[in-house]
Amino acid sequence: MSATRRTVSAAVLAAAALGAAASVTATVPAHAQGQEKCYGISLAGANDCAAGPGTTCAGTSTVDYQGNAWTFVESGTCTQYGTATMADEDFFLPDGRMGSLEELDRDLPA
Amino acid sequence: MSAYHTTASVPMITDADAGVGFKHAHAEAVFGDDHAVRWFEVHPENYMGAGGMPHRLLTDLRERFGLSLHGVGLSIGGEGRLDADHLARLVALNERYAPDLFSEHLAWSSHDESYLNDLLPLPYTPQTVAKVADHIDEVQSALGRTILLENPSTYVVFEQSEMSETDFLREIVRRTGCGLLLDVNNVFVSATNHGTSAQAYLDAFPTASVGEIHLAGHASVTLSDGAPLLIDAHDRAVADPVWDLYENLIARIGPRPTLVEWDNDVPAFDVLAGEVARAQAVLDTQSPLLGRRHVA
Amino acid sequence: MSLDVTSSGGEREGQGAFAHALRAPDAPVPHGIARANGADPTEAFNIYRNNVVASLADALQAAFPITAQMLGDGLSRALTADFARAHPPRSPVLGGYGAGFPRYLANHEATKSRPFLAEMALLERLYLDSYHAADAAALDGATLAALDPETLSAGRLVLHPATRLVRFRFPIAEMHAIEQAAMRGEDVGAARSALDLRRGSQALITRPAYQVSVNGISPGASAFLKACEAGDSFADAAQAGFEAEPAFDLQTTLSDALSLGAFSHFSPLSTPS
Repeated sequence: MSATRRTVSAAVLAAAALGAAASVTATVPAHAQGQEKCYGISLAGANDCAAGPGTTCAGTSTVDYQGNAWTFVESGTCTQYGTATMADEDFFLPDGRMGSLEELDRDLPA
Repeated sequence: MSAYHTTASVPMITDADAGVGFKHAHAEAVFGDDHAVRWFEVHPENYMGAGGMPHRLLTDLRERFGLSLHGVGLSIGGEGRLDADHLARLVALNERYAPDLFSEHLAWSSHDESYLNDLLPLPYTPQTVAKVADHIDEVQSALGRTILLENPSTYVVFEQSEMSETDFLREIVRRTGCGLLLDVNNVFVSATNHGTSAQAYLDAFPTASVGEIHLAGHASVTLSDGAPLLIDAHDRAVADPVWDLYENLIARIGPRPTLVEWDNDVPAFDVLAGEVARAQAVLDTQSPLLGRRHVA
Repeated sequence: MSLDVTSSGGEREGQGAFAHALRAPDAPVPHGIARANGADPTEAFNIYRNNVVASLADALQAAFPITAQMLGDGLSRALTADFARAHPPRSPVLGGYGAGFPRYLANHEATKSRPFLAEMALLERLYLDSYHAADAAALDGATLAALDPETLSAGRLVLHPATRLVRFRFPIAEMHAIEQAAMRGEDVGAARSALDLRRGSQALITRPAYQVSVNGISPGASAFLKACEAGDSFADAAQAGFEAEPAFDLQTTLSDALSLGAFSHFSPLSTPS
């Protein structure tokens, strides 16, 4: 940020901090409580506590390896959201930012 | 980080104890329910993030139960060098959690910087003995402890193999001083797939070096020529012939820490606890004095 | 990284030949691989081929459960298996696998008409980043309120290691909430069809009490927290919030962010540490 820009006054910041501190405990979201009931992943697929992939030392009998045995059939819930295209300028943010596109290329751990 | 070694009340795994693989989905039952499972095994690869829930759970587990780290990703049977970064991560987990048992597989899983996520077979030759022994020396030096090496399930054989798997393992033990993890289901799967005798394999196995036993369920497929092929799928209860082999083995060599693996189509914890109880009953027939060191 | 799986593998030996053949479904079984009874080893070797692809596809579907649900079983399985073949992991630590999957979806013919899928995958990748991030205590409101105004103004709010911020071209945070409700078995048909896709969104991902929390936030809150992430002073970050959104509510944003454990501490120095 530029050093010459106008900034919010210290008094406003202090008042906000004080006000925020007073209301913090009242606004803890419900799902952050009751952690004892949500230690990890659910057996029935993902839930609010999804734990992501893990390794096992087991094999599988689910046949999946053939590269040509698949087709692009849309059957999931995304079809209930309508369609959009990457080129549609309606989907750019008002200030011209590219939304999350740059985030897609973040150097996440491989 | 050595507090676990020096604190008298820390749970330990004894020869007379049966355990099961730990699943996050079972955490409530594992920590909250009254059950008789004395120890748990995890794959260290699943606890190599910086922090968060996985480490919190493993910390809780270590405090209350015996713990075994069972690696799947080191590629000890690989042609190339061991992954130094991965070995360093294993060393860190070994120091942090001080597991009672530490094991890896006689298999390879990485090649040319790709991780293939399966336990792949290797031919049994003087050259591969030397390579695997070197890798185990390196691992044991880094960890400062001996490890247990597990016999694999295999689906094919190598024409170039010059020795049996049991002779291979015996030679590895002689050269490195490592122990062995005897997976009885793997013995049954491989013997069926290669048309050999599982009992003969067990008779030839260097059982004095066995520090842990694995039991698991397997799947069966039928090849187009009508022959059955077993897959080490860990997706169901332990099969009866595997229980028979296990009972005979324990009667012959005495109790050893025994773990039930169930990793796909995982049922509720009480089903796993039932499998563990069955293994525990087998162990109990051979350890009537019950001089347990288990304190928890 | 994409390995060549089309050539014959004739010059490869040992595990190189084995690894190559694993990923080329139609390649011959490597020389020296056999069945003990002398039968054709192809079907038995295919067990290994299948284990590799199926286990990695499973790993990806576990890492991107909502994206998978939105794709549907068939397409999800096809795309994750295809990605696994083209981009195998480089590490046995699968918790980090799939960083390239959002970009893959953004470029794939099958998902081009639904670009929000790539954004959902990105959100799920950041969710797992947060899940595995380092532990740290969270800044509490009382600590902040006890600081004198000058210290407060010049110092900076440091984000917790598990905090992630992301802007989307689509209402991804709302879509995430809807799809999670669907996974719990709730009827979300009306919510799906009512969602206005023509709105961008901003999400704050945090990990209060070890549970990852995904929250849609306002443009002002997003600008404020992004400025905190960039190391700006509290005063400059607040200013960024007001500039991004005239109606920016600093106190409520602060209160929500503190409640969600978004900050680890307040650093009295304004220079990034």
